[in-house]
Amino acid sequence: MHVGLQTTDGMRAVFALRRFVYPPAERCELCRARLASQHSHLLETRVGQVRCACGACSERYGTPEEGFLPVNSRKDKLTDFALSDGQWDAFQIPIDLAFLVRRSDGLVALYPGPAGIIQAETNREAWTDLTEANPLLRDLAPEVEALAINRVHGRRDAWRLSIDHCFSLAGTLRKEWHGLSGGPKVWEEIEHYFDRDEALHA
Amino acid sequence: MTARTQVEDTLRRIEELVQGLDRVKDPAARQAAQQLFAAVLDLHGLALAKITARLVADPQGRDLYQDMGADEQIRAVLLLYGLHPDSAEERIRAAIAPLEARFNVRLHVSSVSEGIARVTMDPGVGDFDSLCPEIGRVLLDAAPDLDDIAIDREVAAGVTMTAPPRAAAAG
Repeated sequence: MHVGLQTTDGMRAVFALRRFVYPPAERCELCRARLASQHSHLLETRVGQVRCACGACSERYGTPEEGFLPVNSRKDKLTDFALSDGQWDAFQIPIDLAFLVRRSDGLVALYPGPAGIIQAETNREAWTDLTEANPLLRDLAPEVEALAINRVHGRRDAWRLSIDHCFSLAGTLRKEWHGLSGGPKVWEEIEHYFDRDEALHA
Repeated sequence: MTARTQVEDTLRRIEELVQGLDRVKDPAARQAAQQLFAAVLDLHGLALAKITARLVADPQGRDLYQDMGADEQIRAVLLLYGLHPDSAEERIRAAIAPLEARFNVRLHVSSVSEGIARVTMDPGVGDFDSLCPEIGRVLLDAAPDLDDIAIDREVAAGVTMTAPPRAAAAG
């Protein structure tokens, strides 16, 4: 197992300073092999976390039986998506940015916020209605893909996002959040995140 | 104040300051600090490498260099610059026997390369998952110039279970 990165008191400073000055390459979180900047990701279903993985571990462990699901990174804007204000209200989602994920036991909404991601069950009937209006939602891979709805600053955007993108976006939001409402910077960062095209590396 | 306390205080101070830098959100500021450190470490590191090269060219100097690795303050500096007289593998191997006695486990060094030491543990009657963090800390203390330690579980004599997902999750 990976044993964490703490040493006893004496040499912790040496370790920390070397790490700061010469940041090590990312490693596979399962076997600790060094990773290229482009690498696979696995969702560890038991804890709901995305793990960076090498090709061999992805192949070996990326099955429901092993508790990991392969994550195919994607960030697609759904241009002809139909979601009226009434349909949105039926989900009773209290914020303007949310990820809807199908799971074997239902549908959950993930709300990114200053304390991380909050997860709540949401209205399945509303999802059925939405799927009828937007059949492509049937293609969403359970657990590892989300319908992301962005209604920040009057936007009405829908995205098909893989779960690594959802977590990365949630991380950005958490990092940049200031005060009660998040502050202007955080929402600029969120817009920037959706506007830019480059692939997600980590 | 004894010299030992001074070393410890300095190391602790460095650690706190690095943690502070790690929290700096501005990427440009972080990068500037990182580059400054890298340049200073390069300057010192090259000079120290020349000094050690001269030392080991002479038999007496070689003994002196070896002795210096045992001094806590010099050891910290040599490790920082990757110039400790003993290789990371030698230091890891030297740390194994006391650990086996202390925790009543069997440890085997599989490899030390690419910045990572891989060690296989037979925990005996102990609990693998709870032993790992403490043993990992001691090993990383012996070789803080590595960037990681991986401990694999020996499931039967000679059979290693590499990276069981559950163990990876706990790490």
